[in-house]
Amino acid sequence: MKDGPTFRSIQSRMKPKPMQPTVFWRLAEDIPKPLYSGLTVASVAIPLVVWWAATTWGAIDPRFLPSPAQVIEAFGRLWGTRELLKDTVASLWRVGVGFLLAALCSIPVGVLMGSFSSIRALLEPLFGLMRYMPAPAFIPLLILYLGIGEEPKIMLIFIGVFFFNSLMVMDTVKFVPKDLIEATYILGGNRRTTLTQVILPHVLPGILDACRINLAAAWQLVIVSELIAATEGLGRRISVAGRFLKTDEIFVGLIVIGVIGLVFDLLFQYLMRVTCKWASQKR
Amino acid sequence: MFLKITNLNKNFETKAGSLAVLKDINIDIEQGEFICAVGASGSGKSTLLRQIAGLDRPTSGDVKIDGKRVTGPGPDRGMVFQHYTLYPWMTVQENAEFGLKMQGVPKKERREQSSYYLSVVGLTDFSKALPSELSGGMKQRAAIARALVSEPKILLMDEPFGALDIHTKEAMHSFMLDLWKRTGITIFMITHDVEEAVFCQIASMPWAHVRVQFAR
Repeated sequence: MKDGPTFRSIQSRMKPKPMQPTVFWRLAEDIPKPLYSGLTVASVAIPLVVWWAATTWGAIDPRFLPSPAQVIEAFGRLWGTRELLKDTVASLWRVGVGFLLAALCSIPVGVLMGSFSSIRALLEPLFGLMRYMPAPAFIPLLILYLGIGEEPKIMLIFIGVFFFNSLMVMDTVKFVPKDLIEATYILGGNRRTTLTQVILPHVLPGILDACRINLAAAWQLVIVSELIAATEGLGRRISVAGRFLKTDEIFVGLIVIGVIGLVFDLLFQYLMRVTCKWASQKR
Repeated sequence: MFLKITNLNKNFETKAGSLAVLKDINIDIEQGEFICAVGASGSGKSTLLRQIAGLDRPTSGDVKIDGKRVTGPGPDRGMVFQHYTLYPWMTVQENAEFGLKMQGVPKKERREQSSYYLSVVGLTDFSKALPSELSGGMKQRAAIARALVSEPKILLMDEPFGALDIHTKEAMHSFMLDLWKRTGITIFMITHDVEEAVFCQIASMPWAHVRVQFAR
């Protein structure tokens, strides 16, 4: 303990920063539920209102920015001729097949890479390199090898998803605690049972999360692939509409793409809650 | 001797050279004994336990249990880890019977066996709970039940109560003594807590000959 007239507590040198009570700016804390729902609604409602106001009073050329009513009308028109449905189904089919194939291949590969250093050494350098090659850059090659049918489009999605998903699944395996694996050995498990009955269930939530993120990538790639050579599909719909200055149809295409993507995302989140109760409780 | 460790040496290769963590260890434990090994962090306690568990191979010397040389992990030894190692997606009961499940014991028998040991550790009411719903002490009791279900010859415990608060720890000490008296199982527990070792009694090992030393 210091004493004497020269002693000054370090406290006197401190400049306290006062912390006012707040609701909106709570750091890493929950906010009241009504406020939360209100803000959620506002996040969609405000852009809609701004859009509506700008097109009603802003005297903007509808070829540049159509009004919400015009977009709804275009939606009705495209829906009525069943073109929109055909396009949506075509895009969904490509994403579905491409993504499923990629997931079916990348999940086992990723789990093996994460579990066995030998497999990781064998594949990680190649996959790390492939990951940095943008999938759309493969389009010329894919057309050259596979023509302009469905195959190059599905293959594009496969390339875009497979490498990323493998590496992300591999990373989730790294988070399996070593103690858990050793506890399994002590309980009499061999490598195979440890892999299938301990590592796999432990990484299942991580796998679902990786798939959820990469499905978004797949959905972007299908639009890209259709911009190049397709007779139907949402990407194709947008590029044709652009050529004829049908801005309202571009908006219809964009909104449908966004809504379908969001539905996929919510589906995956739901799947995670149902299958991995133990993991979702933590989040 | 039930557990016989003869001239055990364990070196780890590091950048600074060979690190002798265990040097000429000789330990004999009789069947039914409850032995606590005390030592500071880094004194090689966990390393020793890993050799007995078969999770690690000694550099030289050997470990024999019931006359049989340890060459790898096996269900004749149960182990409770310092960190919680329950499977988070399984209920307490599923955790407890997982070892038997891997050994191919039919469902009815493993259910009976695990129910018995869950009642021994006082977790019958929580058999359907997930590990995340248990307190720290309950988690370790579930882990002990899981280790006991296969009826191992020896229970190895690696600072099992290190993460618990003092009250829970004391409750676990009496629980362990009681369990040991009732089951008659051989227990080898390591800890850095002298009080814990004294309470569990029983034999506190002079650990002076186990020290971290750089071999020349």
